[in-house]
This record gives sequence, C-alpha cells and structure tokens, in this order.
Amino acid sequence: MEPESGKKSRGIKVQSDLFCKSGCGFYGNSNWQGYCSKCWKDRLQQPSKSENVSRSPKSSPFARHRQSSPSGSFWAVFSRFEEKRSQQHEKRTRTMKSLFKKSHQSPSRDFSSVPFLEEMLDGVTGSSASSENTPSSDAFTEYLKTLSKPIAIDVLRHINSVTQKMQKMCEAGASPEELSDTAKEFYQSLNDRLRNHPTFGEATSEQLESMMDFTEKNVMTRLYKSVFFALSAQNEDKDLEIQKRIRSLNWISAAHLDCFIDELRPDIMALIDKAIFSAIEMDARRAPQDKLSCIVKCSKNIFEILRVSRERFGNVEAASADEFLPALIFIVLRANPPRLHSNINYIDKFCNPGRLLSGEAGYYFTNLCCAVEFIEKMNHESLNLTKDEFDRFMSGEALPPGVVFGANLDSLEAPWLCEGVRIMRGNLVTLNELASRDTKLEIGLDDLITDGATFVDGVEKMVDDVMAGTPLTSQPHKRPIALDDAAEATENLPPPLTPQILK
Amino acid sequence: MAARGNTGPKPNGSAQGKICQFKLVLLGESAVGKSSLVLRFVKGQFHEYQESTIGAAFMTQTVCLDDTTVKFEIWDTAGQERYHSLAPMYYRGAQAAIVVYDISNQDTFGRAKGWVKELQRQASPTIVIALAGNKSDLASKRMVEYDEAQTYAEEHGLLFMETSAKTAMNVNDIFLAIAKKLPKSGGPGPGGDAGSSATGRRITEADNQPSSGASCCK
Repeated sequence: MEPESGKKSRGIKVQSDLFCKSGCGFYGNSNWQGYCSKCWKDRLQQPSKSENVSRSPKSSPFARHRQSSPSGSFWAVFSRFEEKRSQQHEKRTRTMKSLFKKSHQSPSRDFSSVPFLEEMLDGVTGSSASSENTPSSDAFTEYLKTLSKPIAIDVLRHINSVTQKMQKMCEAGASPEELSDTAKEFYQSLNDRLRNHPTFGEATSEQLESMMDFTEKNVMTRLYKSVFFALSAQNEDKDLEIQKRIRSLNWISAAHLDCFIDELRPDIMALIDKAIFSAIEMDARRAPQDKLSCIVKCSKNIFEILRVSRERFGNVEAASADEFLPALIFIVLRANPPRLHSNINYIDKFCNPGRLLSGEAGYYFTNLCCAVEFIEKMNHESLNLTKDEFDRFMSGEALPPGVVFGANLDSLEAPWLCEGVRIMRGNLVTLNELASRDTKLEIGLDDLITDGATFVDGVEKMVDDVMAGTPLTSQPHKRPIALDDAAEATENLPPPLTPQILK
Repeated sequence: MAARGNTGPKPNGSAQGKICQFKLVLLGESAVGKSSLVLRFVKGQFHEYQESTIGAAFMTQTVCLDDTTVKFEIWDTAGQERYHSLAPMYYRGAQAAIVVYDISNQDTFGRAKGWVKELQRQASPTIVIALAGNKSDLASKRMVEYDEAQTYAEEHGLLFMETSAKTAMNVNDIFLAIAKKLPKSGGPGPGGDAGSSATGRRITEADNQPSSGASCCK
C-alpha cells in the first residue's frame, strides 16, 4: 500500500509541477518558483509597483528588482533569459533588414559601372521607376552600354526632355491628340537628327533603326500609365460598346464569315486558343511596338490555323487575305480583347508613324482595324442572312443551324459547348491525364525503391562473394634492398679485376 | 507626274545603288488569283528569297532596275464584296496598286472597273495602277476580250497586261513595268512637287544584294 500511494502522490506532484502555479496553462519552471516566465515577471512587478511608485515609476522593473528583490539569484536567471530573447529577436530583424537592403542595392550597382550614364539614368529610373518599369529600364541600360558615349548621352538627353515634357502635359490634362502630336513631332525630329547630325555620322542605318526603336519603347513605356489613362478615359464608351457588341455576336461561327476553320478539331482549337491569347495579351503590353508584335503573333497563329485547316482539303497553297481577314474577324469575336478601341487608338497615336503605313506589323494592324470596323458595322447583309434571322440571333431568341442541343455530351467536340464549359472539359481531360501520370510515377517510384533494395543486396552479395573467394592474407613487408650491404648478392659474382702491371 | 522624295541626300549615304521601297496593294474579286499572282512573283523567280511561307497576305519582293533596287511590299486585300468598304484602309499610303480580274469571268472585270474608279477618286493622286487580266492560260473560256480591257486601260491611264500565275506569263513583267513607272527619288525621272504620300521610302543601303533590303520593319 505504502509504495503505491507514494508513487501516486509523486505522480501528481510531477504533474502539477509541470504547469505554471498561477494556472495560466503554460509550463512553469522551478527557477521561477514554478511560474511561467510571464507570470513570474508579473508577480515580481506587483509588489515592486506599490513600493516604488513614487520614486521611479518609469524605471525598468528588471533594474529595480535586481536591487530590491529578495530572490536575487532567481531574478538574475530570469533577466538573463529575457536579455537573450531580445538579443535573438534583434539579430533576426537585423538580418532581415540587411537582406532587404542588399537586394535594393544590387541593381544600382550595375549603373555605377557606367559612371557617365548614372546621372542621366537617375532621371530614367527615378521619375517613373516603379518596380514594374525596371525590366525595360534595365534592357535600355544594357542597350545604351553598347553605344558610344556621345551618342548615348545625346539620345538620353532627348528621351529625358520629351518624357518630362509629355509628363507635364499629362498632368496639365492635355488631350490625347495633343500628346500624340508631341510624340510624333519628337519621332520626326529625332529621326532627322539621327540621320543628319554629325554625332551619329558613324552609325549604320541598322543602328539608327534600333536606336529609334529603343527610344520609342523607352519613352512610351515610361509614359504609358498617364498616356493610356487619358486615352482610355476618352475611349471608355467605345470600349464598352464594342465589348458588348462582340458579346452579342457570340453566335457567329466561322462558317458565317465564309472562313473554313474547323473549330471543333482539337488541334485547331489549341491553335485558336493561342491566337486568342495573343490578341488578349496586347492589352498587357506597354510600348506600341510590343502591342504590335502581339498582333503579329496573333496573325501568324491565324495563318497556322488556316494552313492546318486547308491541309485537310489538300490545299497546300499559303492562305491569302481572302481567308485571313475573315479568320481574324472570327478570332477577334472569340477573344473579345479588353479595351480594344483604346489599344488601337494608342498604337495609332503613339507609334512611330512609319511603322503603321508599311511593314508587316503595319499590315496586320490595318487588318485588325478593318476587323473592328467590320464587327461594328456588321449587319444581316454582311453575313448573308435575312434581317429577320439576324435580329433573332442577336436577341438570343434563336440559334443558328448547326448548333445542336443534346449532342454527344461527353465529346469535347460537342458543338454547343460554350467557351467556359469547353475549357473546363479540356482541363478535366488534362487533370485525368495528370492523375494517370501520377499513378504511373508512384508505380515507378515503388519499382525504383525495390530496384534500389535489390541493387544494395546484390552489391552486398557480390562483395561477400569476392571477400569469401579471396581471403585477406597479409603479405610480408617488402624491405628495401640495400645494395651495399647485400653480401649474398655479390657472392656469385666473379672477383673483381685486379690491376696488373705490364712489363 | 513623278514626285520627288522628301528625304534629301544623306551626308553619310552614297548616291549610287539606292533602294526604294514601295507599298503595293492587290485588289480584285476573290478567286481571281490575286495571291497566286503574287506568290508566283515572290517565289517563282527569286527563289532565294523565302518570306515566311506561312501566309500569302503580306509579302515582300525586290526587283533590280538599272542602278536602283525596288522593294515591293505587297498588301493583299480580301476580295469578297462584304469587305469592300474596308479597302481604303489598305490603300492608304500605297504607291502602287494592281487590280486583278479573271479573263474567264465578266463579273470580275466589272468589279475591277469599280476598283479603278475608286482608286482614282480616293487613293493618292500619284498612285500607279496596273490592271491584270489573270488566268490567260484559260483562253478557251475567255469572257473578257483583250481589246476591250486594253481600250479601257488606255482611257484611264492604266498599265495593262494579261497574266497567268499558272504559266508565269507576264507576272514579272507587270511588276517590272510598275517599278519603272514609279517615281524614284533622285532618280532619272523628272522632279515634281513633293507629293509625299506617293513617294517611295528611300532606304539607305549597306550593300547591293537584293535580299538585304528586307532588314527593316520586322
């Protein structure tokens, strides 16, 4: 009985010893008379408050207690603990701070390698250098480094002055037309300067082209926010209008436009998605030429769609504008690119004008403008429908033939599928594929583990076999041969010749 | 008639072996063989220059004419009637146009006449217009007489040729004829007033190879 009760009471004691005496639920510590660190601190503070309130109400409780507390040794332990904790905390924040500091400094270090540019680039990166601008600024810095010093300074000076001028105009509420005139004047004057000023005498025409490109890109990227804001405010109604219009035309299929795109074939669907992506991506780009290159990318995808579609009919000749324009209209209808009018207007107003009237990008841009105009003016005649049919399709009352409900539900190619459901189904297929690949991976992993185990066993066995076959035998040490001492080696040799005196 | 270029001689450019670039639009009813004609011109003769063959809507080709290299930038247009109203966007700033019809189809000739009328009224006043009666290999199905078209072209001051994209007949010739007729700034042609939109853009050249002219506007 005795030992049992003793055990029990000890067990209880241990249990209650673990927790803080004040019952806060935290673990206590015998150093702090069974309290947790917080309660111990509070407990120490309470009596001291009443004692020292008048003398030094603001002095640290730790300092006071070091002198007044009767349990000095306990206090010392506790204060050391607190100190250590605060030190650790400080250390952590310091490292974090230094980390941030370092990452901030690193880009500026690049500039310092080109000292003459530093000051001017401060203008470039400083005035509108939000973090999103830096990639283009960096690329621009890299580009400037490839130029000779006087050229780089001259170009930069022009860029900075026009940017500041246009920024001020934006702030003063200038209309997009005025801004556009300023930009175009700038392109013209810079072009003249590049071609005629002696500073650029040694540059090849290709270098001059790329200088123009970079200048345009840099200026427009920096001004993009203010300029595009002014433009999109002006074009907001039109943007919304065409968006609504395109939405209401969602029933139009490729066949209505006389374009032979089999939109239900999976491979063509993937290409259509690509083209749509490029069309939508245009809104995300800043510089006019970047927006243009999105249009070019979209157009190239459309040609690819046409090529794949036509191969089926054995038609291998490249697609002409007769097929391209309807296909582009179809893609624009499917993509419904955001802020379409604003973007077109922006390219038209702030692009180097030479880029739009000629060149590949100019051609595709013209086509896009045509597509938009066609969509805006589209009526029953342009689709070879009767007015009645057109109105009914527009109001959603009827759906054009070819749109069949209740077709094969599980088929990805079901023609009635709306965009979202189609994409969802596509995603489901992808997910299923991923799941099966995952299973395969797991099986493969198991195999690998087994293989690994067998391999280890095999190697062990081989090593054992070899060890068993060739027991460890220690060879006698090889001693160095001391030639001079080797008496036995000379034993068998004939005696050395002795000199003979010839008479 | 010819207009002088607005770009003066460059201090660091040479006057010899200049390159002129012209924008040329293709107009005509669909299925008259507009793009076949251009494809034949672009790929048939100068096979070393391979434009990305993916599409035949925008193409470039250079021809050499005495000491001048003429670079054509060919803009194809959609020929269907429903897209007719969009054409002005394409021929804006064009220096040359080829209006194509099908000699085996009278309707296409009628539409070609319409194009010519529109171009002469709305396009740049100095635009060089050529009329091409395509599919001349289909002589047995001819519906448009040569003389009829020839007379019409003379009346309206057009270049005229019957072409065949299939046999390559007159394909290069019609482009060469246009190149000859186009005003080349600083060239042998007489200087006129600066009708800027009708003048070819002069490109400063680095070397004389025709294919090198394709370096701009990528």
